[in-house]
Amino acid sequence: MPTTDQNRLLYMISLYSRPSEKDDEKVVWVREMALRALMYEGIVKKVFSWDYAPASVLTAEGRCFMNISQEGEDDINDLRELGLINALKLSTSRHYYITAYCVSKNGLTELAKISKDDKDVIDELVKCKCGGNVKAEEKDGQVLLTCDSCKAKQPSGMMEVEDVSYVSKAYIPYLPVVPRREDA
Amino acid sequence: MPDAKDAKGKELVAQQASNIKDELNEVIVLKDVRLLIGEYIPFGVNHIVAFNTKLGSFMRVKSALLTQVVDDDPGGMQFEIPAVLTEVLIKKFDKNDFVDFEATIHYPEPPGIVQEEHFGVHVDYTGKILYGLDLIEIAGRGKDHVSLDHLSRVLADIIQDSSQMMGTLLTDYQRKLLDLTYFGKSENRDKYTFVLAQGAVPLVPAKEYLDGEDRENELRQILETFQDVFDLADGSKLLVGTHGTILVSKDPTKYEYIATEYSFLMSMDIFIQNFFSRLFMMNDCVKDIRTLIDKSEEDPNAVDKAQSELSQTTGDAILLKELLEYLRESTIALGREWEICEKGMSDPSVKDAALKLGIKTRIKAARDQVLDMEHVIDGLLRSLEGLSAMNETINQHQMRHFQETLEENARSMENVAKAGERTSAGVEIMEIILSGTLALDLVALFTGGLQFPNLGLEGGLDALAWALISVGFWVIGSVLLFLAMKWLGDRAEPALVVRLKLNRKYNPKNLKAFMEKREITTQDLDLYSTLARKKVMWKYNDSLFWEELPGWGKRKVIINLAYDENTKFLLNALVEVQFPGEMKISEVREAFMAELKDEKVFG
Repeated sequence: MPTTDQNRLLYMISLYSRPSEKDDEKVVWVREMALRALMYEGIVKKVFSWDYAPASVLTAEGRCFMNISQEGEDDINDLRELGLINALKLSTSRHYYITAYCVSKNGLTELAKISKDDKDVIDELVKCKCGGNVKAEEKDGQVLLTCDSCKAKQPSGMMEVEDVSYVSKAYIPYLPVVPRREDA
Repeated sequence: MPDAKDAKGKELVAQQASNIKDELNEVIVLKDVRLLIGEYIPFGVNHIVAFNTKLGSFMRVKSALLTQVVDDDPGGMQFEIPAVLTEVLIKKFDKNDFVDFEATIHYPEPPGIVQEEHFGVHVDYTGKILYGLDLIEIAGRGKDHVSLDHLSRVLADIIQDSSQMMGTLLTDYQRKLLDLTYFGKSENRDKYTFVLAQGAVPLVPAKEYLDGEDRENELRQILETFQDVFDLADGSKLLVGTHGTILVSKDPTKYEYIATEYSFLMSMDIFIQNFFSRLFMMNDCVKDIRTLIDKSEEDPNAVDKAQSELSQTTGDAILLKELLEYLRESTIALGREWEICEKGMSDPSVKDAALKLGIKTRIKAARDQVLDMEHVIDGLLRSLEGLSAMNETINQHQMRHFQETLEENARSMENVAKAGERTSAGVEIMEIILSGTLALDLVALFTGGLQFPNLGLEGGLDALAWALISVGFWVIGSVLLFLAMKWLGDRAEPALVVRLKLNRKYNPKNLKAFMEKREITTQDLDLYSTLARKKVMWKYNDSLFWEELPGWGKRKVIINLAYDENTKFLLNALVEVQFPGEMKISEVREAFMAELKDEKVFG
């Protein structure tokens, strides 16, 4: 039985993906990075009860730190195990792999069981001021939240790593000195 | 302190001394945390010598301040730079082998955030870089309460700050190698973290951390994907992940050496993964170049593009080959190092941990990976050589074709020139005849006609003499008009043409202001690849009445200036001045350069 967070996540994935109904119909997948950006927005707006932490992520523009929710990732895996979403691995032109997700046929059936309240909070989360749906895309090393209807664009806060005060003292571990060459 | 033993009884902890927007659920808390962060940077003995020199290891006072500012006027007396943000203190060093130093970083932080960042750094000739920190206080709490949520943010900060600090110490060559491997984003490069803690709450059998829920999720913030978890004989817990490892032990010091070796080994693994991706990306470049060469007959830009990509890719492949050599030497040195240290290892728990981490196997695997990549690079270089030969053949073919076209054009031009010469001779004859006719018409105008009696001169000239005078007028008129036309023609032709090669950076704002003050008559823009070459022309004294101009005098001057809008370089100028002999080439150059300098066009 999926939790509230999992239901909301499933509904959010269903808004951006579509399985094929016929053989010649194309499947619409949502990329992991875009989903992570929306998940982050959902955490900040208290739609999801997860938390997040900075993690080094490989993007088209190289590595960078992003706020990723491990609990959210865990819920994605739970939805996969329940057969409600499918995951697709694909390689990129930079020879790293990305994952994309799509709601499964079982997932579409499950959507009917999700309460109107849960759907409403997600609709509110992904809705732009103009009424269109917000999309997340990675461009020039930035994750942008965009709207096709009003062409609005704003960077996602998922790339802003938060700071914590701390005090440390230098620590140099014991390292035995090993001669440079065998004959040395 | 919240009771974190009960995973179900999660307590939301009020945020202290942080700018975290979210409410954190603390499930696992560590005590007395030491951090070891490892990374691989290509180093050799010469780099260590340079590194020691830059740090000032050989000086009497073994501390120094570091800055990223490059002195572009080393001969000057004073300079001003922003406040220095990094301070180092050398602890131990060997000129050729290694250096251990303490670094204190004061990078600006957001308001309300206080970070006293002191870390130890070990750098050696194998490329082993280790940053060590002992956490004293975190988010307003003591060292007996280190939340993993806070720790993940501290790690992100240290990983970024340490890259920035090392950036000031590395040579350009090393920075180039790192940029090549990390796709130009070496400042965001990844590192491997080894967390040594004296305790954890809750302290449960290692397998219980893999609950698939809260504990596992929280640990993944540090470790990323779990690889394995182990309980060691002395009760220590070893939690191993793809980007970090946590060791919880009552005596973490005895595990220090394997922690350093493992974090370095894993950071080398991260480096090799990036290197491998870069290699495959270059294989794609080779495919692109081949496609461009195949298209050389259809696409007029294909050969130039292929040439440019070929030289870039070949340069990168050579650098990768050099980098691989550093990696190979590092893996050999690491293997030797491990063999020596394994012999001195007596504690069974430490031996067990080394075995479980598979350090020996991993060193061998790294060596095999490097060997495998050597084959890939050799293949890549051979492909590039083949492409270079193909491109050369196409170039020669195009050159032959070009030469044939040129010869054909020369023949056509010769025919046109001959026809032009014939026409020109005819026109000149016609000009003389017409000039004479004009002279006769003028005579007729003043005398009332060319007939002798019309003059009405008493005892005047006879008809023959009058005819001769008329012909004389005809000849004089022709010569005068011919000379007048020649004078006008000479005046229209530029007399002194000076070509100046500039190749200097310009200030776009000042150049724009300079252009606005001149009446630009023509403008051309050539856009090609990354270049945007613009040619502009302006004239001085382009009217009937010439005025005295500073530097140029009372002359007509035509200036053509070429510059690149993308690279912001002034390329060359062509200056044409009237009246040969009145102005020297050096004077023309001086007058033109003075104009540019006066208006601060040079950047």
